[in-house]
Amino acid sequence: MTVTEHSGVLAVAEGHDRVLEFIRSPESVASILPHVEEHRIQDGVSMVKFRIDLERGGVSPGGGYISTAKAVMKFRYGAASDNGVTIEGSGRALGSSLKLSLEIAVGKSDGSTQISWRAVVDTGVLMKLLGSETVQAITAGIIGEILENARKALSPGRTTE
Amino acid sequence: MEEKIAVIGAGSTGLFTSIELARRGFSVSLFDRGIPGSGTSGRFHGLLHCGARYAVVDRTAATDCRAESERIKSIAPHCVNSTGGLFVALDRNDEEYGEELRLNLNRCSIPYTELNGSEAVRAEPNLNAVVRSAIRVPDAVLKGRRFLLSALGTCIAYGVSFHPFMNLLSAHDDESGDIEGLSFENRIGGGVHRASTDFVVNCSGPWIGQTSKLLGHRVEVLPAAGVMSVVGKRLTSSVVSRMRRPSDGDILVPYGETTIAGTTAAVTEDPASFEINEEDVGLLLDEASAMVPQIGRLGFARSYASFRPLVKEETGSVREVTRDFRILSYDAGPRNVVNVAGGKMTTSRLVGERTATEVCNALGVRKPPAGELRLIDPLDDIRTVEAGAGGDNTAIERIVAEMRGGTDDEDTNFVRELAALVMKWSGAG
Repeated sequence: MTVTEHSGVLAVAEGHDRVLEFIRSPESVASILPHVEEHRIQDGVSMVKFRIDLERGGVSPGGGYISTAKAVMKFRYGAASDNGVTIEGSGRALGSSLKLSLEIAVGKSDGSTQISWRAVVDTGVLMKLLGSETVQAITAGIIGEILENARKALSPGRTTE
Repeated sequence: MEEKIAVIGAGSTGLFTSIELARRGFSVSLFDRGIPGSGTSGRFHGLLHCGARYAVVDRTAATDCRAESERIKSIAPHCVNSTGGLFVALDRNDEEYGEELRLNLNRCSIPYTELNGSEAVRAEPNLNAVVRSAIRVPDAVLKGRRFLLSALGTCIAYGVSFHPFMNLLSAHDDESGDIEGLSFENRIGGGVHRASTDFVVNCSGPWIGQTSKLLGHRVEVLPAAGVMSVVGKRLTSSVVSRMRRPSDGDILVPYGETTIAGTTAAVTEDPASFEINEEDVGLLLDEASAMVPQIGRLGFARSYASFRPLVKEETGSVREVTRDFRILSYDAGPRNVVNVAGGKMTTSRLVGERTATEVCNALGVRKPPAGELRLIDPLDDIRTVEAGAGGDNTAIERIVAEMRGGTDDEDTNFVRELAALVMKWSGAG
């Protein structure tokens, strides 16, 4: 199996409509990816180049020769539902193909806005060769950074707990 | 009594292991399925690391590189171009990393000088004009195959018996389960070559996993491919690196009349079936062009790949380990075998020295190295050897063919001369 699933709920201070607008905007979503070097939209496809922190997974492809690796991903936004969006991503890093299916839904609860998300990540040959523990550590690191960046963008003024 | 040691793999690690063992008085036989330079060591980027690349992320590797690069400049000056290196900051993130870099260069005692953007462009006119600042370090260029040939010549001078084109077939155990002999397929002369041995050192690089199985060990490795691309023009006078944490596509090496851009990393299941992906080359082109825009206009003349074995979590004993290299032995299986994984061209002498120490420890002998090490300059010998003269032309053609796709492809005469010399030195010519 080269596929892993991740999900969670993020509570933010911004209102429902503002959050919905944010997650439907490719520019906004690209802005919360970690270590983005380039983002452009072409023919309705969002193309992002960013760097992956390999140290986080304790892996050094190249025997310590590199500690970060460049990833290139293309994201296609699916038809927006009333309260969310779906994003399909595909790309490449460390010589392996990568795929991502992301479902995001926005709801309200106790005075905050809740973002429910579910990601299915296919890391291809990376999972097979590096092992699930390493890939999970790298993936969890990236997701953690995205959530932290999203929290900062959508809960202005709040500090990290 | 001289203990007989078989070293398998004549890349830079196997060569220096052989030298260091021979300097300690062992009787050393060096075997390779090709010749020095036909594997990973012949497909590197040409950079002799001063350690700056690793100063922030791995200080042990950085200080090892600093000491070893100075050592190589001293023992093999004919193999080194002391070009210096320039870490360039192209944006604010790079400059922030520069602060960390300076701090850690000081910690690692790596000398450096700082340049502002205009000084950097004056020093390297082809640099991207947006360069904000730069740090000059003592990186250098290592002439790959000349270095390997010097190491091989030094092996021969120390009495190492060199056997090229020997493919390991099997190991023969004695009653205690230790290895007492090895059988090789002779890929040039045909037939099977048998060698008796008291100890085996497995330095077979990306083939370390397969070799270890034949030796009765089980080293689990993951081959990682590094892709490098060559611009058909020398565009900088010094090595140029991006001022950021080590990543893919952040080194430019002025190598002869070319510029080598390195390196991407890609995991692969099978080095034999690995094909260079155009997207990876595109990534290199993007990154290299960001530092030297002319590369975007010139494009790459060719690309090549090399393979490093990444050792998975060990079940055996790690005798010596850094993030750079590991010396592995196993309780299950023969006790007279060590497996050496990893290492850089820059640190290969150090790996050889430490491996020799491990062999001494395993055999329970104390043998200090004899004299000062200095690599011979093979140039005089090369000049006296005409390709194919008195030798086996088919064998030489085969060597030349197997060495295609590496660091030194542009120097076709040298490759041919080298092939002839290897045949002469190995006694196969």
